[in-house]
Amino acid sequence: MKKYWASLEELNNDPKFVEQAEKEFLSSPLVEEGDFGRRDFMKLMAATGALASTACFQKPMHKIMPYVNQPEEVTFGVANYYASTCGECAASCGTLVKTREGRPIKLEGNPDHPMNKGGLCSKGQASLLGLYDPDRLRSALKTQKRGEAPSVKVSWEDVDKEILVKLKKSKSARILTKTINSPSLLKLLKEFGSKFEAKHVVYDAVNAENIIEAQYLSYGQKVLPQYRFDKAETIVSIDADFLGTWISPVEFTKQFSKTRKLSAKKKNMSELFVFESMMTVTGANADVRGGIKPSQAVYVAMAIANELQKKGLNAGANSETYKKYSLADEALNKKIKSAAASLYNAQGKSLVVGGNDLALQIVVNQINSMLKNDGVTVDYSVSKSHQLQGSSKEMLELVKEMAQGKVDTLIIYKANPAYTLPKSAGFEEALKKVENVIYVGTSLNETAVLSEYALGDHHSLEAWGDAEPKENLFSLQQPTIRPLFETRSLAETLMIWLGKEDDWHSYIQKYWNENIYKRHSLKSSFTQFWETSLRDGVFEAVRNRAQETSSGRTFRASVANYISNKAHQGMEVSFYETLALGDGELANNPWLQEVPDPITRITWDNYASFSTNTAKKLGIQNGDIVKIKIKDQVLEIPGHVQPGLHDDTIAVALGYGRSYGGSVGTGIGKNAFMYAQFNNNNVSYLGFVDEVKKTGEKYILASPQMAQSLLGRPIVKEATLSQWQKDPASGNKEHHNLITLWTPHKYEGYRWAMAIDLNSCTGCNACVVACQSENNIPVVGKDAVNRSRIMHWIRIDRYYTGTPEDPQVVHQPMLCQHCENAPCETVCPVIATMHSDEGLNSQIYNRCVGTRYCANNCPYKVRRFNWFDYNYGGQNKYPKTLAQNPEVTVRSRGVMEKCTFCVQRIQDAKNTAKSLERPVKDGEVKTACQQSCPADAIVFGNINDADSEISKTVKNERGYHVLEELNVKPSVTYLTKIRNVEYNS
Amino acid sequence: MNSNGSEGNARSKFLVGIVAFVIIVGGIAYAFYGPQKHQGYAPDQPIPFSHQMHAGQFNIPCAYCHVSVEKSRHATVPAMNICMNCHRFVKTDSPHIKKLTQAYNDGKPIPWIKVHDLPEFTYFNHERHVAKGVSCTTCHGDVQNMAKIKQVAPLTMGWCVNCHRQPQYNAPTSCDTCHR
Repeated sequence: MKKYWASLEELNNDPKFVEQAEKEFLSSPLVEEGDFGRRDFMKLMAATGALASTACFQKPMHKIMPYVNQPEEVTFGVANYYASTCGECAASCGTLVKTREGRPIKLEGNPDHPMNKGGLCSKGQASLLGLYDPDRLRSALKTQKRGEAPSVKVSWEDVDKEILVKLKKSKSARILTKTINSPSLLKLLKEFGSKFEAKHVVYDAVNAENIIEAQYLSYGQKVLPQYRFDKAETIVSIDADFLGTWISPVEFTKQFSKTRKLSAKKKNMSELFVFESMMTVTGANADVRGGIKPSQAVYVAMAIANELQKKGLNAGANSETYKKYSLADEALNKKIKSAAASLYNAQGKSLVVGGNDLALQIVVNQINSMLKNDGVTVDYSVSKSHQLQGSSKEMLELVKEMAQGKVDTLIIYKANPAYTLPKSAGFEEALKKVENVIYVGTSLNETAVLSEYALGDHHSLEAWGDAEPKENLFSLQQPTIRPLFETRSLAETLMIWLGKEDDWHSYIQKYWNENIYKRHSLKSSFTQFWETSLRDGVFEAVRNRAQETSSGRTFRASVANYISNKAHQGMEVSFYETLALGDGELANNPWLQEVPDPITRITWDNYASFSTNTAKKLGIQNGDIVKIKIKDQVLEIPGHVQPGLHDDTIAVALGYGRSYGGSVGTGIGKNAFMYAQFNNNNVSYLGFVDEVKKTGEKYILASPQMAQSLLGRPIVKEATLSQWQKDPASGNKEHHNLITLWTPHKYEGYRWAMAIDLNSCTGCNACVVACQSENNIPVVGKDAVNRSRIMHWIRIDRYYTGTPEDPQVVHQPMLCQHCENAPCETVCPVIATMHSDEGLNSQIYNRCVGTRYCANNCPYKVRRFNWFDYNYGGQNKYPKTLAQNPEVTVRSRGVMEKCTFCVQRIQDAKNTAKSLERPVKDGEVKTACQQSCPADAIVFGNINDADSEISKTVKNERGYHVLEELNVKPSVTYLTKIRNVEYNS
Repeated sequence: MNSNGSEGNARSKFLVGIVAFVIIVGGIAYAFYGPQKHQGYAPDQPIPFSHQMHAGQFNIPCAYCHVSVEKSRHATVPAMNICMNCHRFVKTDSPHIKKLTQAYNDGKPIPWIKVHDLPEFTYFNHERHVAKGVSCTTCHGDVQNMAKIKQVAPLTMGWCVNCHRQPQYNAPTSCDTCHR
């Protein structure tokens, strides 16, 4: 049997770890906290009990504040849903905003949106909390003295008056933004640009400019193609984390997971090869994964091209170049050979993607052309992407102009170059030479505090907008709450500065009427068209996207011109974006800070990841602070040992170390942007290491999974594709003959159950944040995470198998299993956890007295205890509390909680069904985790209904229960992981 | 550890005694005056609205004002525009109606005091009960004869469950029916 391990300590049988694993419980928190012992605790509890019982005498008085004029569409206690567009990143997924009494309480993916089809990532889910962020910029601010942070509140009238005077005097203005794919806003920016001679500069810190540039050099067309993973049978990714952070991850996950589903009808699945420097979720889901150095990426691509030409494909003029280079690593070459073989067999239905490196992209383009993928899986014409248009190059040119005093007015919208550009780029110095600096954004950041004006922007949930993330795909964004503060969106501001009479909403309508309506084939009035589009949230001008293909273009670039002759020797740092924080704009969002990294499982920090061999060589253990010398800079950061890295690679996450990131985000981790390789023309997120040294100091990295161990039990099960094809039950043979003393429960009516396909789950964390949002789950902070007090009801356990040099990864979402013979139920002294007649294991908060017996007796460790009043006071100040779901009790201190299978959604569906006098239909209840899952890994429903999807899924031969031998009879069935690979061992 | 010999022992015994006394007396008092205390609760409202007049004398159906009782778990205290439907014309000279009109014109809601106040961890659903044919008066009492609204039923869990347990009602008794 394959051996799985949750941590390196477990794999190596570290004596300390073995001792801890034997103990079962990490520690007694009552002794752990200094002198405060059990006896003191009992005394205090007695006193508290006495106080509490006296406090019950007075009935609290509550008031009812009715509406003065009740809006027509609001029914108290009934949610409204509005289709909108996610404003969190340039991917612009479609969303459904759930509002209650006029305030958004949950974001979900729009199932009708052709891109994300109902899925939404953790960032998108968490943008809800961004709306209610107490640190938001609440009005327009002006600085007292240039150089100081804007702090004086000014009225919008004064702002308009003052700035208009400045704009009229201005000779060369610039507007600096992140990618904007709103066609209306782009038009407005153009108008503004021509009136005030303001050039629009687009800057994304992590961008795709080399993809676009390489497309130009290869095919003469500046375009960010649309990649079609759904049409690919073989996928090779070279440093492109398309399931996690690359361009449009939710959409790509939707596409990719479709190709990985297995059923009686679909016996084949796609094959994924990943060559990457950091271990990402894409690598974790690979069938074959190779750890490389970041500078090696292009050589890997060339080696693949070379293998392909050996097989007879024509590499044209680059043929000799490809022959010239070879990689020394034998294991890696073997993987490259198998990738090339698989690609060769899937010509016209394969896809090679790569990271943001010019030479790499040119080679990738040629490979796709050689394989005739161009025009099929690489769509450059029908629905090319508008998602990531920013460029560091243009930004650096702007800095140069600023330094030369050629720019007198700079309007910055959301971009944060003071944080994301390396110090040596000289942005701060250059900014001082700009006379008027106006920052527009939702909160103050490193750039805003250097500006003269900081103008509070609406959150995307408060403002009108539109988006064209893909050519011919238009979506609308509508306000779902009246602005909480005295803010104004950039568009409204520009409208006023342009002296326009009408408002921004009618401007968008006009744009849609003039440009988009005519592409609508149905015969309806514009008003009808507008209302339909607004209701659907999306309008697609091209039908049948699935059918569209184009012919391949002629590849014409010469690779040799872009390859440096000597490969870099020695260690390199790869700077990567994390799934949660991205480029750091969302650092002030506690949901995203606390969600554990899908691979390292660490929260609240960034760190330098070393391979196991390098860590051994340098004597680095988790938490040892290291000094990494890169050119003339030294990065001091805690080290972390990461299986699967190339021995010469150190990986450090971007997006941390904000110096002005709000009350949550400031000072968490180190700012890795500062160490990126920078030359006058461009920035690339890799660093050449001169020296690595251990300082001898220790730092605590908080992870909820550090001390967990499988203890050799078959918690995850897997098989290879060919094994599965021969026998669908392979890998799942080991079953127990179980007898029981219990009389079984009778389930009449509904019985709820869930199935999770381990083969689909990518570990992206969307479900974790969705659950947090739906169920009012508090954030506990780094210290509490370190004490194993994280509150997430669903967690994604990550297990490795194989060697630490070349591991494979399995992700397993773990949540309350709603056991039929639940061990928690039998030990509760106050019957606060009860088995419902629909198979739910209910937790009754008002009965719970907090003995924690249930958590101790739970074999899955999914119960969570409220050690403090996380939901009241302190950290949860106004307006953050507005994000809470009124359908779920807000738990207070001393209460146990856990996954409820979203019982509020079940009750809601049952209520609707009862009103319509019919049973609940299959698919009507979707749990929050299931709804958000971009990979459709979760199935939920009524198992008593023989025709339901869940009934069919649990009968699958791949289905198994975790810890089946305990005979607790879980309601959650897992389906074995299937890898499209043959094991060598 | 905290051991000061016999003196300390005596002191801690005394403390334990006090604590035990408080708990016992508190517990008894709670048992007698606790949950039932809400029964009969009839606070003065900011405007002395009379159900006796509206629902009794004028026979206005409950759902005319409590609009969402049939479509939501909340029956809701009516929005002020519903009051103004009539009181724009009716009894405009009354000081109470003047107060109401003033508040309405100022856009300020009347802060009514909640009488039937279930704990926040309880999710009672009006829609379901009304659809089942449970009359408003079953839980709220003889409202059409109340000049000042009063809590008649105990609204305790035992009282709820007593009904739910009756076989003829076929009502669910799972905890998660009301608690989530």
